[in-house]
Amino acid sequence: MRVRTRGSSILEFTLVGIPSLFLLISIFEISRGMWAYHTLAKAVNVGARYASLHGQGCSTNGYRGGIAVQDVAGKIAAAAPGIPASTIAVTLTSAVSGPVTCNPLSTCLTDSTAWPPAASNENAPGQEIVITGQFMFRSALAMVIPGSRPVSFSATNLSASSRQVIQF
Amino acid sequence: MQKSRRGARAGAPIQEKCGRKGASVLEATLLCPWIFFIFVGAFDVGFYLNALISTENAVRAAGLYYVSSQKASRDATKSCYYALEILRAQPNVRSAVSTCAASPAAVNQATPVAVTMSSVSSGPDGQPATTITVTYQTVPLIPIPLLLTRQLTVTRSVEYKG
Repeated sequence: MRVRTRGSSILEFTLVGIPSLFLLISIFEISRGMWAYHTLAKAVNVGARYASLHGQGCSTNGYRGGIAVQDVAGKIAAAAPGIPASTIAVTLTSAVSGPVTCNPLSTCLTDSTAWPPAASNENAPGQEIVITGQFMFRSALAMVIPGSRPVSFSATNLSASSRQVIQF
Repeated sequence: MQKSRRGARAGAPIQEKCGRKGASVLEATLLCPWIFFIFVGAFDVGFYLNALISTENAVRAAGLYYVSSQKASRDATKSCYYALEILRAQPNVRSAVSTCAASPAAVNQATPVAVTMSSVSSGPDGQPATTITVTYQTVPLIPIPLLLTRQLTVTRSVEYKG
């Protein structure tokens, strides 16, 4: 009788412990995902804001104008603590030219190509720029999903975008 | 002492054992709603906070666009578009929503976002300013009576010079 009671305690703990652990990991991972998304959204917003304040009119007023891809990429990387530049893909889109893709962002940290391009007055005040960031969020939650491999972390694509008008 | 207690337990009458089992069921019944509500509360509050942060970002984006445009060409519809761009990550906005509600009171599940503007003759620095307000209604969540509503309507405003 006593042996049976002990066995049922272990069984009960197993039945309750696994879902509890799953819930706990879920809360951690979803919180981490939300934090990563909002950090990414903030970072692309900072990058777009920086570009919108450094248009062609900026240099004529004595300030630094004619920024390059590396300047915007640097701003985005600096504004995204905890998300390495090697894990973010960023697309810089100006009014006319094709998009500049930084996949990952770290490849653009030394790119001295002017952006937004001066051709077709794409860096003139009033023109729109769009910066889109994508982060592959890898979660340990996948480990406990039945059918997945033991250490197979699935990836969820988190995407954030910022659209702004060049001011100066 | 231990031995005698175990001995007593092994020889306990059937009615006593049944009573203990009943107590366990009662305890579980009393605890279950609390545990359920704690998880539901965490889930709802998470959605609410996400909506709050996103609405803050949306009102800034809409406001920046609106006040940076020439006064004569200020476009409230385009401001709505900028706000929606930021709110695209919300489950009831996504790519399905392309217009805003006419007023904050008119937000619903089909058009969960409203953007309104009002001119202020004297802002914080005494100069004319514009107040931009974004209202966003969350997806229906699990309500907790007297604590958490089924749907939260978030309103955030910014005031920009101009």
